[in-house]
Amino acid sequence: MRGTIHVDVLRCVKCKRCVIACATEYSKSNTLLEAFEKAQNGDEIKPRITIGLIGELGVPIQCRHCENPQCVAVCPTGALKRLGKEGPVVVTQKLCIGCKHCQVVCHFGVPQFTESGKVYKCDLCIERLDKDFLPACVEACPTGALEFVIYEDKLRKVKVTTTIDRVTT
Amino acid sequence: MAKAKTKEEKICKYCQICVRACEKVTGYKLIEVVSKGEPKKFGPAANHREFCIGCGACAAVCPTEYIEIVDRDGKRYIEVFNIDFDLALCKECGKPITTTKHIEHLKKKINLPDYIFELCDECKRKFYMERIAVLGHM
Repeated sequence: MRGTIHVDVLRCVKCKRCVIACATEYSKSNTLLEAFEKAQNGDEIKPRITIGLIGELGVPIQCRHCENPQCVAVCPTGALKRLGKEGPVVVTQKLCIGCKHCQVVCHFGVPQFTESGKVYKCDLCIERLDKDFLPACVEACPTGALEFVIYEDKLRKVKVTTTIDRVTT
Repeated sequence: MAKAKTKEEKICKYCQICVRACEKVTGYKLIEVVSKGEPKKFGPAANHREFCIGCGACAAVCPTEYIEIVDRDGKRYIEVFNIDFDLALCKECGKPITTTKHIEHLKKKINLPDYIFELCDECKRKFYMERIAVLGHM
């Protein structure tokens, strides 16, 4: 199974619930209130998804979990690696030495660094997927702009939508 | 957030974590403890100095923040080692990306189009957001 997050820009209403859900999921306590309190005390609570504004459109962007990840190819310590053959690209923060190779070679500028110099990025909520939950951002999205799809289904969907676009325009 | 360290706390404890980090990145032990009580000096011999790419891994792993990197006026300084590098600036916003030597090192390692090395992470993200906005979905 190879899942990925499908982004539908026209459905995004820029509510940033995905950003809040993501930051909460990756905080130690996993509850919004405690994460908020800790953030006020200066703890590092970082969301792995960002919403950029392009004109009036909001575009959510997170790690694409590429088929040939350059970040994994250049990582000197193996802190970034692909889980299994078709799994997501995950981070082992203990192994990261903060050389920033991954940030320089990433096409999407996804890997970010904490103040202590460790990399963090989206890992498709691998712990949640193991328990058969959807990734936190997908679950929080109220409009369905973010959708968790299996790779083959996504390809079919892209094919269908682009064909419809071509027929209708 | 960790409390800012005072100057007395920023001392070398000879743990040699930076040596191991440097070996992973460059393949050379560029940092060597010269002798206890003295500040660290670069390289087993002075002729290894040119292999330093200025990535800043040694500073990131240093537990006492003894090694510090300072980016100022288009140059990166590592004062402890008495070494400086030219910084590559982002084509769009002018923010420093990393040192030019670091980019050359990565270009040797991996074959990628040039524009990836010319933009900072924020501008790269914006570049792709614009593309996704045109496509409508991704």
